Amino acid sequence: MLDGHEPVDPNEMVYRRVAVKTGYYKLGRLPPISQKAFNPIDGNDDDGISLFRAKYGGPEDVAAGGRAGTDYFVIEMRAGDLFGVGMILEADPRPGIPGHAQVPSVNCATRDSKEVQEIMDRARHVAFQAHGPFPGKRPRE
Amino acid sequence: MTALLSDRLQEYYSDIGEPQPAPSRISDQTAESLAEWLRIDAQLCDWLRDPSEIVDADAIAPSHDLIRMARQIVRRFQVQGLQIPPSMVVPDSNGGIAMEWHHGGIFRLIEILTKGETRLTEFSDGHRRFSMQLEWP
Repeated sequence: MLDGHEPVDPNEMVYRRVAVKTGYYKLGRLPPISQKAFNPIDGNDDDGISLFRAKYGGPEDVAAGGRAGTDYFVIEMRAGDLFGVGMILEADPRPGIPGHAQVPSVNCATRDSKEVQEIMDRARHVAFQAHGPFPGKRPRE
Repeated sequence: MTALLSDRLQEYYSDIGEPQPAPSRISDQTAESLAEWLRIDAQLCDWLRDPSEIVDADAIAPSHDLIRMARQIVRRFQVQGLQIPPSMVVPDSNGGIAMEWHHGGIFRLIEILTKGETRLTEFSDGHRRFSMQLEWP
């Protein structure tokens, strides 16, 4: 039985959730995705940025994990394409989120390094499909 | 390594096919370019109303002072006659602001960081060529 601990397969599809209001994704813009769409956030991404494995839920489920009152685009990419640009995803299931995956090398301490900045820039250019926007549903704390 | 912001930008925009005029008046810019610069300024003005509305819940919004600084920088670009506005201006989710320029395989990023320092980074086909602090005269 799959529980989210199995390694991320290159042929898996994964999602990156971006809030609409950030402007990190915009249909029709060149380029459509900002480098900051993969930027680690202080206090949240100290251990690495998060993505979500499509085998454990669809785009609306991923968006629902975002904050209520905020709408999200969900960017779908192939894990192997991200591996190819140096963004290595590791399975990181969490309570209630078996599909959670992490990129340990892209974290708050490394985000200004040459290597990680290049990874973030290349990642936003891999083939993708954007879903949404969909509403977040996580209650405000 | 530091450099004057405007001088650096003039230097690096000389190679993207847009001839840079001598320091020119805003009225010399193309209508399309001017409209886009104005749109960006309007976007930054909108941010000032409530910066928390431009970042996700767990992220850090830029301060009012930082947004005002971004407006000053945008204005400076216009006065210097830069014809090509950034492709996008976004919050970096850590209290800073990022401006991105894209032309062919060249990507230039100007970041205004939380303490007010400004950083210019250039990428060529996915490789970072340099990153440097800029002085804001």
